[in-house]
Parts: sequence; structure tokens; C-alpha cells
Amino acid sequence: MEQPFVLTEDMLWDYADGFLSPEEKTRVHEYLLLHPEQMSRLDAIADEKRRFASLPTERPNAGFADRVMAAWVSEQAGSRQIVAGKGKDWVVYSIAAAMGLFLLLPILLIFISAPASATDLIPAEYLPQTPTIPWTEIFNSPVMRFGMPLVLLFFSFRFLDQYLQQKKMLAKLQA
Amino acid sequence: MAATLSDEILIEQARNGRQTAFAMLVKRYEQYAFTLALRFVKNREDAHEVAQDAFLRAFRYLPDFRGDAKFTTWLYKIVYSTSLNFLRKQNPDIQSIDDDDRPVKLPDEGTPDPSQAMERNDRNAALQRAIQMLSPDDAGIITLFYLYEHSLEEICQIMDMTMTNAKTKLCRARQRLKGIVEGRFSTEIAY
Repeated sequence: MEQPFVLTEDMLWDYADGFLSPEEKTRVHEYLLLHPEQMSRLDAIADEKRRFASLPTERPNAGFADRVMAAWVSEQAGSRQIVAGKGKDWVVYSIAAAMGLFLLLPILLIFISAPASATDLIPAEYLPQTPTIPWTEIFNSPVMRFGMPLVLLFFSFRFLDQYLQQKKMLAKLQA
Repeated sequence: MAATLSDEILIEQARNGRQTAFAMLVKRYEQYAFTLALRFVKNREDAHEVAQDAFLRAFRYLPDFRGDAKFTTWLYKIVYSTSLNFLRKQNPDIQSIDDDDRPVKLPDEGTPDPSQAMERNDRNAALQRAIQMLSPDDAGIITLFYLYEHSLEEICQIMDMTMTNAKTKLCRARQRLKGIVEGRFSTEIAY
């Protein structure tokens, strides 16, 4: 036996909100046609929905938009500084790479200049003329003895300074 | 002139770095974002912080906005997640602002003062106060659906939930609001 149709409050809200399936919607619609006295309930819901829709939005304090924009501009300026800082870092990194290469070059040259392990097996006329590098003179020169450590020290401090500055800036932005 | 510019144009200009376009978007949506934030965090001071943070996040991620959804849907989603983060910071145990398992928490307002309420005779104010008494999720979904007239699909995107869940939540929020109105503001609002 089929249950009698009961039009609940929630069903009416769903009808008004357009949540019902086409079948349910038709059923409610037909029920309302047969029971016009129930239309007042639907009208009350429609009034309530209108009241909701007409509720004014809350106003933020005066100058809110200006504060947002100031924060945005400040954030942008911070990002630009970081980007600019990163640009400078690339210069520093390039110099460091060049310095590293300069230090590694003698080691590389050792391998290039003494490649053969059994040179006595190769006729002398086929052996390449290996360059003679004055290692003792290079390493004993004042530039290498005093200049290199100073340059390395300078770049070490520079790296440390850049790292600390970036860390400080990131902490400031995150705060 | 500025008012006639569409969101799409302003977004495009903002993407190209025009500060005035950003400012116009803030002006256009500050009240909506602030109201929504207020519904979630329940406090004007905190709502200012959340709304500002939401706008900054929106601008930061504006290049990622593809325009699949409405700008407001996208912005309100950011407001929702920013509010959730804010509430989590305040209470690290909070997993969501969904409180299906918790009863509506009515703030203790001391002795009700009907004469004061009648003096104001402001149904809207009473309804606003009733909405403020709802849980963040309930207040949010009521605001989005009935005030901002967002569709259920858009609410699902904003609040990251399924259709069935959103429908159920809206129904429960309505029932809870009715309960609050009938219990506290029956003189101001004839529900």
C-alpha cells in the first residue's frame, strides 16, 4: 500500500532551492495545485529566501583596500629584492666557479701532461711534447701564497653574507 | 568607467602587473570576502586579517587562475582555505570547520535584552547575529548559497565537498539557523 504523500518543510525548501529531481518536483507541484492552502508555506519560504538575499554584506574598516594594496606592494618590493639578490648571487657563483676551475686546472693539467703509463713502449718520435709546468714557481709565487687565501676568504664571507640576508628577508616575508 | 570593466579585463591587467587593476578587484570584492571571512572566524579583527591574507594569496596565485570557474568562486575558495588555516593556527587540533558532530555553540551574551533588540527593530541585524551564532561551516554555506546566490556546484568547489554533502550541510545549517532564530530572535524575526 502506497504511503500518503507528506509535504515536509525540508521538501518545500528543496523545492524552492531547486534541489529536487524532476519527478519529485512534479510531485510537489501537483500536490500544491491540489492543496492551495499549502502555498502559504511556500510563500513564507520564498520570503525567507528574499530576506536572506537582501541581507547587507559587512563592511570592512575604512582603508582596508589601501592596506591590502600597501601589503601587496610591499610584498612585490620584497620579491623584487630577492630576485635582484638572486641575480647578484649568480655573478658571485660564476666567479666562484671560475675560481674553482682555476684551482682544479693544475690538477687537470697533471693528468694531461702525464698521460702514458708505459711511455718506454712508444717510440720517442711518437710521444707528444709534454708541456713543462713550473709548479714550484707557481705555488711559491706571492700571488698564490697570499692572494689565493685572501680571495677565498673574501668569497666565503660574501656567500655567508648573501645567505644570511636572504634568510632574513624570507623570514620577514613569511611573518 | 572602472565599474564597467569586467573581472576578466581586470584580471588580465593585474596579471600584467597593473596595480590599479589589483586595487579595483579589492574594492569590488572587499565586502564579500570580508563578510565570508567574518562568517568563518567570527571576529571582525581576525576577519580583516584573513580577508587581507586571502587577497594577497589570490594576487600571488593569479597567474594560475585559468578562468574555468568564476573569479568569485576562486576567491571565496581562497577565503575559505585561509580561514581554515587561521582557525587551525588558533587551535591546532581542528581538522575542519565542519561541526556535524558538535552542537551549535551559542555564545554567552549575558542576559538577553529584548528592549534593546526591539529598539533596534532591525530584522536584518537580528538575522545577521543569528547567522554569526552558527558554526563557521554552517554560516559559510548559508552565506554562499542564500546571500551570494552561488550554486551548489560552486559551493562544492569553494568548500571542497561533494554535492550530497553540500546539500545535507545546507539543510542542516538551515535547520540550525531556524533553531537559533526561534530560540533567541523570535521577537525580531518571524521565521
